[in-house]
Amino acid sequence: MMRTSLYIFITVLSLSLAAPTRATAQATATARQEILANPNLSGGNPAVYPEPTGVTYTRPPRGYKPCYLSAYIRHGSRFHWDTHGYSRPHQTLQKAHDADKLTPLGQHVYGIVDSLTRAADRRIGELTQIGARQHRGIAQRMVRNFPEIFRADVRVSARSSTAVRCALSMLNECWTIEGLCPKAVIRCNASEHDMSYINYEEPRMKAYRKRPESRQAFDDAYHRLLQADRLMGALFNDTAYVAHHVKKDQLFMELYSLANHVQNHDVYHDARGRNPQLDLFPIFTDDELYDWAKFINYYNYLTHGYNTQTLDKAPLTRASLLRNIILTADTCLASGRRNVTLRFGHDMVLMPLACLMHLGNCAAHADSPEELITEWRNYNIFPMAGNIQLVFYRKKNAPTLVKVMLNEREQTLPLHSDTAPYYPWHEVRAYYMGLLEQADTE
Amino acid sequence: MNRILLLALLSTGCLAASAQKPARQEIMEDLNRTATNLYAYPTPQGITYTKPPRGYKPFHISAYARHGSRFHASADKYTYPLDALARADSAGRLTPLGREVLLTIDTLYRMAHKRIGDLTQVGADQHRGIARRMVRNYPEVFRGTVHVEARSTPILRCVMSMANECMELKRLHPDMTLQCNASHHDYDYLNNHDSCLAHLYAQGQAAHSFREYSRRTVHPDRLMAALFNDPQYVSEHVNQQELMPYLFSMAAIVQNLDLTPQEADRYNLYRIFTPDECFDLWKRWNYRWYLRHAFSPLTHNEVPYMEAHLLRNIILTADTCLASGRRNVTLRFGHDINVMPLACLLHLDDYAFSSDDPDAVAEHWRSYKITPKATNLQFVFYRRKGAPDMVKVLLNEEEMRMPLDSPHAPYYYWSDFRKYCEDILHKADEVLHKYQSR
Repeated sequence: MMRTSLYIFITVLSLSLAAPTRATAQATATARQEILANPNLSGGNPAVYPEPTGVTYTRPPRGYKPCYLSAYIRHGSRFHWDTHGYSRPHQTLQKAHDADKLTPLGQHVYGIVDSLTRAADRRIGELTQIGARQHRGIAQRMVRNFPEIFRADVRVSARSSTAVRCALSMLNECWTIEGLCPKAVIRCNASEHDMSYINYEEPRMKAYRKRPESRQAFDDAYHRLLQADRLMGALFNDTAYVAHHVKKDQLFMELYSLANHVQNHDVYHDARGRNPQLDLFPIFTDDELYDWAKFINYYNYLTHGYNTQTLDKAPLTRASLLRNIILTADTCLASGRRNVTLRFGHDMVLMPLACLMHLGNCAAHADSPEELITEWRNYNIFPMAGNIQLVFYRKKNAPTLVKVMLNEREQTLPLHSDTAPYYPWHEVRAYYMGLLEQADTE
Repeated sequence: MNRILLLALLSTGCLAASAQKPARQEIMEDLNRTATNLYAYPTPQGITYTKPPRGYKPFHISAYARHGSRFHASADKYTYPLDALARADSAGRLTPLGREVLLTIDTLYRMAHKRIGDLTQVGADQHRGIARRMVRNYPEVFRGTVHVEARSTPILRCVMSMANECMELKRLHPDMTLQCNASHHDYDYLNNHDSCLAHLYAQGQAAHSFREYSRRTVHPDRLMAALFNDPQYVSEHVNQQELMPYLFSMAAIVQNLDLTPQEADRYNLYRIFTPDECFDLWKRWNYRWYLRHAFSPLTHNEVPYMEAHLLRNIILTADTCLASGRRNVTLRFGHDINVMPLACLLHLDDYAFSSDDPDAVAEHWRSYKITPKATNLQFVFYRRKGAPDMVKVLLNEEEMRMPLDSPHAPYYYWSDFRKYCEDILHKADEVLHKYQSR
């Protein structure tokens, strides 16, 4: 049962008003249709950034001008973050190849995995040029959409996680802003000092993930949705060899993950962002592709979303980030000058933050992977370079308003506003502070 | 021609003059110089550049820059002196001056909390300045759609140095295209630590020579008596020979922090040292860097060859950029331990000086000139239609001369310079092969 169905309804409604092209597609396409039409979405967090083409924005209420922008931005497209993501499937297939246990399809897959592994040599987890371009695009649109903020003396304060891919994401956004707005005063840093909000999990909230109910839900979905036997039969020519030498579930997951990562490599891409020569999606059936997408989506939800299994605590793991956003906004709004605060970090922070902030339908609940994916889709929340932007608007002698965008798409908040998606900041602030107090009093 | 000759003479004269200034005098003019590789980048002032030969215009720049000013890169630089003084304080063995010093170090350590090795804003500004002068001094390069290709080691202070230089370039010339990366993939030439040559300084005669020189230059008795109220406590609980250089290193770091002038004055630790102590401690520190990275008979005059891979990358990348026919800038960001050997390897100025006399080293080879924070080597290429390309080498934005014939020095024909580098690389191959086959 969807507790937040009203908000979802409002979101869908507002999206369909604000962005007819995409919203129509979103409202009508089932997740299965969306994923089979574009398998690059199936893995969730490896999805490339969905450029906001065709998105239109609601005009702010009369007389209001943007004065401050605050953002949390995930790094852009990268190589697989884990060296085992390449090396383990490579070793499995190499051993089978040497033992002459691969089918022609298995040989073909081995060739692709070998190519990807070589491409990633000494580049594990590194930002690719595709990722760099995503950030340049985000920065360009920031400057273009909010010219009132990016004027002569705007101060841009950028902070990054200490992961180099995040620092390079920051660099690409910052030099783009500097080129478009040469008089901006930009200061950036990537320091352990700022990790307490850029990438910090509240341990007391994190502990709720270990509840048996959470583990049970995970196990049930895993065993029901992962069916690796057919694929193993297609890749290997000897079932006894597979039984003795291949961790079939693991290999299934590794190949699924690699299939999803190809879109982030700087290699030739076709119009759909896929390199036909390196495409691993055809080795999966439609059902396999969709079932495992449902599992990953559900897993992300159990880890980061509002779910009964963790007693609705999971999003509060990132309370320190929301607190930083609020307190920094207090300072910047009080300063009386134009400011921009950029934070660069990770998907595992962005997703719980989107849920915690109750953006659109991110705070939805669901009882099963099937029910969840009808409305709550990980690829809409934390693709590569996924980002949450809070844009503050000011009018003389009127309350400051805030608009929140997820991946540059306007979001509704669970508050009444005659001017949605523009909300009075003091109300939003009070709402979020109330949520944070829950975490404090826990 | 006469004019160039005159300029060359004048500039040689300047170099000679600066080389002739005794080290002690130069250091007393600015005690911050005793910081050796912690010396904050000296913004070039009053430098006049030799005009290129008639008709030549700059069209390509290739550079290697060290990260800018940072916090100390290892926590023990703070914790060692802090613990030594805190222990003595708990035992009631500090003088009022000792307690003041403890307070200062405690403050500096708190500033560095979770910022060990981070670039400071002072460092960020150094790189913005370097970029600004690059654009100002070579406007012919930064025209139209010049392409800038930047690479950094994956160490964050280097990445942030690259960020600041690139942002400043983009600000000044928005039309340029820019691509940057910080990858382990480029580590082979940006910061190769694998060389067996990197460890020669810690062996045999070199290690012995440094130990001897340390004994001659570290005289902690006066300072210890000023900080501690109990000589017996000092002799039983304090490693004076270690503590004194640690305190000196704390004094050195202050110039790199983001402090107001009042704060910088308050935290100035040079005041606890006498001028003689400062000079002696600098000589020791300078000698250590010299043995680690320069041509010394005690390390068989071989250490600088460890930067052969970087020199090779500079040459091969230049080959590509010169052949491309378009304007390019290649920026590399790394570490002092790469710039030092490379400056020596190229025999820039007097930096190939080789001697086993540490005092003579101090007069010829001064680390604060070679590797201050943000130290950088720039190779600026000049072209004239129908004439051979030329190159000029700058260390910290000062023109450098090399033992290479040129009627236009500091401008050298690229083909001559390339051959000069090839010869160095052949020699490097021999040296490295010798160690690898052992």
